[in-house]
Amino acid sequence: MSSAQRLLDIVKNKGLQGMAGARLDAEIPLSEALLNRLANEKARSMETLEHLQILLPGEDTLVVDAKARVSTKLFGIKVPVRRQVHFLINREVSLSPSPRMQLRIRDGLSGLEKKFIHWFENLISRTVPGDISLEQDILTIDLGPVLREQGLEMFAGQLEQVRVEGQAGRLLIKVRASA
Amino acid sequence: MEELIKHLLDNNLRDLKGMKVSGKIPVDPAFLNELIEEWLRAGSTPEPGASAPSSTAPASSGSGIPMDKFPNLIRRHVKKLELGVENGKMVLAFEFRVEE
Repeated sequence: MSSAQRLLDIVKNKGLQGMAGARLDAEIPLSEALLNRLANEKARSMETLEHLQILLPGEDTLVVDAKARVSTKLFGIKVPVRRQVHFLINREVSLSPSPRMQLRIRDGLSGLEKKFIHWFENLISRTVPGDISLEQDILTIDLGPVLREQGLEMFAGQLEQVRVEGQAGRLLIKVRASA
Repeated sequence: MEELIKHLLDNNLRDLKGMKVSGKIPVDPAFLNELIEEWLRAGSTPEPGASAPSSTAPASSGSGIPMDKFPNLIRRHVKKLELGVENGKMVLAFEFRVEE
């Protein structure tokens, strides 16, 4: 085990004991290229997916451009369906009971067969970390399970503010925390 | 998540250009001493013929994260790392920045 891994294990084991008064400010940019790389890696096992691209044109907009071969009601023939789904990012991430990011669907899913909408939900679930729920036009990403998976859930309670800004070509995540 | 961290470390954080992290961590000397003690105990090599030392630290996650890359990355991107005293407490102030 490397010394860095050992230190990480010790800190995780100790939790926030002795850390009262700590402060942290972070700005983490996630580039369009990085998001596309990750999303395509995660979605690779979806046989029906032919194309997937995430676009960040700015002004808190996120666009998912996806092409799939989905069976139609007519003889079950598989036809290609291509849609660009436009999301508006809610900048403020709600923190209680766990960090939850929300995006509002602005355009792209209306008038589609339920089958494609389910396929799209499946695509999002596979490519985005955390628990996903789609209700009406609001997509909620609950990051609580990600923190639990990493053994970092104790830090969730120390978050003061988390913001996600959709800028041209990148997502900028701003975090403020204290213990 | 581990795949993401591994990718970022493998590429020397190139995909995180513009990242800034700063903060202050009050360091309780007792905590620091305990940390050093656990670190030394976990890292001690048994003498030939002796039984392995017991450790209270949990086992490593066994992930594919190349943890050995951390020291170099920290050296490259840390802009400030200062140990000081505030209100009678040791405080570690840090700033980590990946230049654009």
